[in-house]
Amino acid sequence: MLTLGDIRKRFGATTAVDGLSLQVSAGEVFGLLGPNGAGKSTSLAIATGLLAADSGSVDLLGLGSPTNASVRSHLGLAPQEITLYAELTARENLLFFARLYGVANARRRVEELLAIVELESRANDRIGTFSGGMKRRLNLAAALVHDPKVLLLDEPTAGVDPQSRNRILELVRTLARAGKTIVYTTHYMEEAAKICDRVGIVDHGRMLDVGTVAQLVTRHGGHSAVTVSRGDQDERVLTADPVAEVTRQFAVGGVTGVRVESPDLEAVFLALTGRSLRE
Amino acid sequence: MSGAQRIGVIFRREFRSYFQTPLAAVFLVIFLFLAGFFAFNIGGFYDRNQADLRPFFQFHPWLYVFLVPAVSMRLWAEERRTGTIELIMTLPFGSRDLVLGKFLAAWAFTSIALALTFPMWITVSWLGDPDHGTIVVAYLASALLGGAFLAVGAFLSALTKNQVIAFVLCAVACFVLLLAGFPAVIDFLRGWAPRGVVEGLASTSALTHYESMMRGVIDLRDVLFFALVITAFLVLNVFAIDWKKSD
Ligand SMILES: Nc1ncnc2c1ncn2[C@@H]1O[C@H](COP(=O)(O)OP(=O)(O)O)[C@@H](O)[C@H]1O
Ligand SMILES: [Mg+2]
Repeated sequence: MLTLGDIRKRFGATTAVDGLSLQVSAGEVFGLLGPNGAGKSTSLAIATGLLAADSGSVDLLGLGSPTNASVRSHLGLAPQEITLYAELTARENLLFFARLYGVANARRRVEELLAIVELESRANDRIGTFSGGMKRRLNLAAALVHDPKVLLLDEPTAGVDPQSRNRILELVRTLARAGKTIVYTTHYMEEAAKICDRVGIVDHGRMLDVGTVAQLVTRHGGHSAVTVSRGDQDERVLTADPVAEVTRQFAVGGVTGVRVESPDLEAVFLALTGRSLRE
Repeated sequence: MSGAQRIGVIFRREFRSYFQTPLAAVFLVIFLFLAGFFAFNIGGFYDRNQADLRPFFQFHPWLYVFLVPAVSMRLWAEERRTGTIELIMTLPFGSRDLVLGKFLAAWAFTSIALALTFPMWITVSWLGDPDHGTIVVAYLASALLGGAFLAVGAFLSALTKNQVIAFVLCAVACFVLLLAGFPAVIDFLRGWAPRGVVEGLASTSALTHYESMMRGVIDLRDVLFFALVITAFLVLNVFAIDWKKSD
């Protein structure tokens, strides 16, 4: 669906993207997980044709580069910053973009979208008055006006309250079920683990590894920690096979409690970069 | 969806945006006040005992040098500042329609400011018996000059995120465009420069063409000059936007 081949981009002395490749398949939610400054937004800007890469290739749906306007029409982008007109109302913003996309029956589509992002009651308010979460949801709606096949969502939960965040995650799941192909960038590993079919770990403009969360954890997560309690005595054991370890401990006998900590994406990131994702 | 429809959508949003900030009101007040002030106080509107609007129109180029940049500076710089440029640059059509829609909205706005000076026309008609044809042509000339300056300013606004820089660049560029035909420059050159150079320079001057139209004659060369400046800078604007995109 979307293929980036060995893209590179420098800004002066900074290398933002350093030979990044990725291949997103139809209908999947692909997560780009990496800390701030990893090159996620720059990669998306290149994927939309907003930014020209210094080298490398971009292909969307086998149609070629999105620098071509007709190819671009299959793409919906929700940028990291809110990119709507503060002086317009929610409805006016969506109508503006729906009309420019040449959406047939733009008014009906806009009402549909306002319902999807649960902003009908605020449709006539200028978005300058909106909370961060509401703006985010509208930003997402603007990426959907023309019902694109591929959606690029750049940190769609940045700066939002937990309630909006859950709504956004739920919406992304719904879109995925409806068959959209989604690229989702984030620096929250919980989000990536929750909603992405596959995750690519990015740091310093490079793709360090790609796979399902389970695959990544198996490959790089290291050992699970099994804590076995016997009365008020705790024993902590690191093991690649926690089930076998627990079985063994029970065979020894006297076990009053067991806790297993499996490695997560945080551990994967730490193993791949030597740094913590949480900074 | 046709290009014309898209231009219409962009035009409407842009045009409305002027009235959603104090900019429109401030611009209109300053323009109308200065236009009147120059005409009456410096142009000697009443003292000439002539029923025409020459003293009024003669100051427009100098007004525009400072007022047009205030309108044009925000055209692209504002979209860059707010980030909306990212979304409009991913729309599935070229930047030509965006450039045209925005330019036309700005031009409509300055033309409305100009049209609001109609009381001058009424006054002069009431005081005497002016040549209305001349006044119509002078209004057209003033609108064309405003359009040419706006096209220059829109292009410069596409090059920078900083509105102050966009303003200064535009004011300087418009000044140069005018000054190329300033009497002092032409007279100075006439003494020694080859005739071709003098005429060439005079004919690239907005002031020369404006003053020629102000006399009330529509010379195709004058209209063409403004049309050419507008077209050239709009084309440059498209290139600038395609080149810089959302940077
Ligand atoms: N327009 C730009 N000019 C200069 N440097 C930039 C620009 N955009 C991004 N960068 C730099 O490129 C690197 C990657 O940025 P970005 O793609 O925004 O990362 P992310 O989205 O993963 O946080 C950062 O070091 C950032 O400072
Ligand atoms: Mg980013």
